[in-house]
Amino acid sequence: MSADIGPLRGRRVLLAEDDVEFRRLLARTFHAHGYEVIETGTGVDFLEVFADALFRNADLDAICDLIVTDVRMPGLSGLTILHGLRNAGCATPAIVVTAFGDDTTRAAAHSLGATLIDKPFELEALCELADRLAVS
Amino acid sequence: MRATMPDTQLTNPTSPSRERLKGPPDVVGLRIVLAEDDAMMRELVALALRRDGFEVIEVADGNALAKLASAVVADELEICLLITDIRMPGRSGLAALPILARSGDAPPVLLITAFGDPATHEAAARLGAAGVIDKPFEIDDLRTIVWHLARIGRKTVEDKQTEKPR
Repeated sequence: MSADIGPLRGRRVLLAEDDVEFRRLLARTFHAHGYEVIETGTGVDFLEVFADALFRNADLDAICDLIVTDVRMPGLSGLTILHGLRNAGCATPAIVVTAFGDDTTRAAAHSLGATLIDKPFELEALCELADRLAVS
Repeated sequence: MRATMPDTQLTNPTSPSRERLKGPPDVVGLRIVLAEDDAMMRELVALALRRDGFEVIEVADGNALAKLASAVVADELEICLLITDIRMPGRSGLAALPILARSGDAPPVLLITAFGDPATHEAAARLGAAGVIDKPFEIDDLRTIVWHLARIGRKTVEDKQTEKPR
């Protein structure tokens, strides 16, 4: 991992992934890369992070600098929440990770302004993409 | 938001403050059915009401709602309030109203609609809805209406329990 986190210092990533082991791995990776990580394990927990801002019509882009979400999660899918957040005016960059990267899922992610990454993937590639998106 | 509540008065009007309104302690544990096909909207409303202490049963379509309404009429399910979207897959949320009308002591029904024209409000009142709230709405406006109606529904549930033969 790069030790020079430069412009990424203090960046916050929201991580939504129901596979605990995989989420912990991603969280450790992002921590090592200089990110503060908000971990959520279900769609409802993911939504709850944004709930107060949604209820108050507050700035949704102030919650985090990057969203990294799985597609299939208990409760609500990552794409459903992302769709709702985009409709509510959230422009936070997003990465969608999935083991089911069919054309429909890819098109849905693309239409939401998100980048889709198929599992399995290289952690370093995810971090490079995250760095590009989080500083944009 | 435009909301109509026949014969009712809000007891806790929404504060202009952006601080979260504190939920009243007397609604904690009351059971509500929430029918809404928009998953994001349903989860958000459920989150807000669960934070207030309500027990929320979620359904996503009109057929599931009709089954729950039938269970309420058959005294198999006790709820203090039914909140439902009007336009849903399967059956309209409005279909729950005549089902509940079979019971003399049905819980109040709060309708949520994206098509809040006067005719919809009139139809809702005619079918016995306790209130109608138009999307988009402020969550605190919805919460205050829910608190009020759930208290009315709680009274009905308590009366029914008192009348039950021992």
